[in-house]
Amino acid sequence: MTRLDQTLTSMAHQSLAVCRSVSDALSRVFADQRRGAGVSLSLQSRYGTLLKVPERLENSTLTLCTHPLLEALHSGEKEERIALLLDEREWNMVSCFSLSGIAFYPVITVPAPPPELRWARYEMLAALDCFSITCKQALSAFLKGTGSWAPPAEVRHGSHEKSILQRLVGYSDKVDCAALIDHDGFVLIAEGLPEKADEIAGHLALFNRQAARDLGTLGEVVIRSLSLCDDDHALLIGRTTGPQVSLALSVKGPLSRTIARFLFEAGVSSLQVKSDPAGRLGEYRGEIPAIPLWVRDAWLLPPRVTPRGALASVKGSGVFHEPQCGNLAGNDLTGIQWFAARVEAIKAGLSPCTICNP
Amino acid sequence: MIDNNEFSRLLDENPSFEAVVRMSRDGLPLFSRARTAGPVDQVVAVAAGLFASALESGLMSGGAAPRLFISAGHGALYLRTDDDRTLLLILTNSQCTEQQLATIIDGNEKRE
Repeated sequence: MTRLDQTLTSMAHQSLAVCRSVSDALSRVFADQRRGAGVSLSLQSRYGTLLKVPERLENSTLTLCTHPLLEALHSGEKEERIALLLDEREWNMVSCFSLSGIAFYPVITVPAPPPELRWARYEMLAALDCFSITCKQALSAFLKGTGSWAPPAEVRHGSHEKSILQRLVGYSDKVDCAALIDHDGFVLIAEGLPEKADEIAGHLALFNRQAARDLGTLGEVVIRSLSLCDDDHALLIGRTTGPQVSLALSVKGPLSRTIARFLFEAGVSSLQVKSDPAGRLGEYRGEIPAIPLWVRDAWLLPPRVTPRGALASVKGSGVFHEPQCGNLAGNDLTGIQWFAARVEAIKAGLSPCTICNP
Repeated sequence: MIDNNEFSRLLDENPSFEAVVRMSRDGLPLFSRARTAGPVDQVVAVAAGLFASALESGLMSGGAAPRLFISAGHGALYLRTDDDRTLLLILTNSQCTEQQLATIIDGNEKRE
C-alpha cells in the first residue's frame, strides 16, 4: 500500500522535475542563483502545510494556511481556481481544487523575475498546472482508498469502518492509532500499534467525555472536535455525523498536527458516505439531525432559543409568538410547535401573542 | 509572550476573538480582555481543569509547547503555555482552525 508520506514525497519530486522542465524561460528564472532561491513547491490545507520542497526554502515560502485568499479560492468539486500573489521579493501562484469536500492548495513560489522575464508568468502558470495535476492524481488515489470503498454484500457489522481505520493507519508511518468510540466512551474498533491503540483511544474518549461534561456547566456546548498536541505529537477526537460515533487519531513526528487534521478530515468524510448503509456500525440515521433549539452565540453569552421557523407556539396554549418573546421563556421546549409564516399559525387556529404581536 | 497591553489590540484586530485571558496553571485569571461581560472566571476554571487533566493523563507532554484546542458548535477554545507558570486562553465566537490561531499568536509574540 502506498503510504501518505511516500505519496507526498514522490509527488513533490515528480512535480519539481516537471516544473523545472516546463520551459527555458522558467529555467532561467529558477536558475538565477543571485536571487537567492529557485522554485519552491508546497501543498497546503486549511490546517497547515502538508508538503514543502525544498525544505531549505521554508523562510521564503508564503504562509498561506491562514491567508484570506484560501477562503476566496475555495471552489466546488468540478472547478479549479488559480491566483497570483506578487510582491517585490517573490511570486506565489496558488491553485485550489476540492476532492471529497476537502480543499487543497498547491502553491509554487519563485523569486520575483526581472522585468524582462515577466512574460514568463504564463510558463509559471503552466508549471502550477502540472504540479496541481500531479497533486490531484496522488490525492485522488489516496481519498479513493478511504472514501470510495464499497463493502461486500455479506459485510459484518463494523467491517466498513474497520477498513477505513486500517487505511488511515496505513497511510502514514506517523499514525499511532485510529479508533472509533461510541457515545459512552467505549472503544468500538481500534487500529494501529496493538499495544497502544486501545490505551490511547481509551484515554482520548475519557478526556472527550470530561470536556463535554465540564464545558456543559457553561450551558449547552456542542463539541465538534478536540485536539491535544505538543511539538511532536497530536491527538484528535471528533464526532462523525453518519454512524453516530467519534473518530480518534494519534499522530507522532514532524508535521503531526497537519497530518492528523488531514487524515481526520479524510476519515470523517469517508465515514459519512451515505450510500449503501447496510452493515454499518450502529444505527444509521439517514435524515439530517434536527437543529438544536438552544444554541450559544459565544462562550460568554447565555444560550438562546434558535427558531426552527419564523414563529413559535407552546402546544395547547392557542397563542403564537416571535421566537424571542419573553412568554416563551421557561417553557419546555420539546413542546414547542414551529410555523414558517403567520398565515400558517392562524390557519392552525392560533391567535397572535398580545405582547410580541407577531 | 504577549504583553498585557496588547490584549485589547488583539481583540480589535481579530473580530472573531471573544476573549483573551492570561491565567495561572491552576485556573486563576491574571489578566483578561473580553468583548462582552460574562463568566470569564468560569470558563478559565474549566479550561485549566481540562489542561491539567490532559497533562496528568499523558495525552500531552508538559515540556514541549502543549496546546489544547476545542472546536465547538459556536466557536473555538485555544489554550497554550505562555511561560512556566501561566497559560494563554483564547475564546473565539466563530469557527477558526488551530493553525489560524497559532499563526496569529505566534505572529504577535514575534512582534513583541
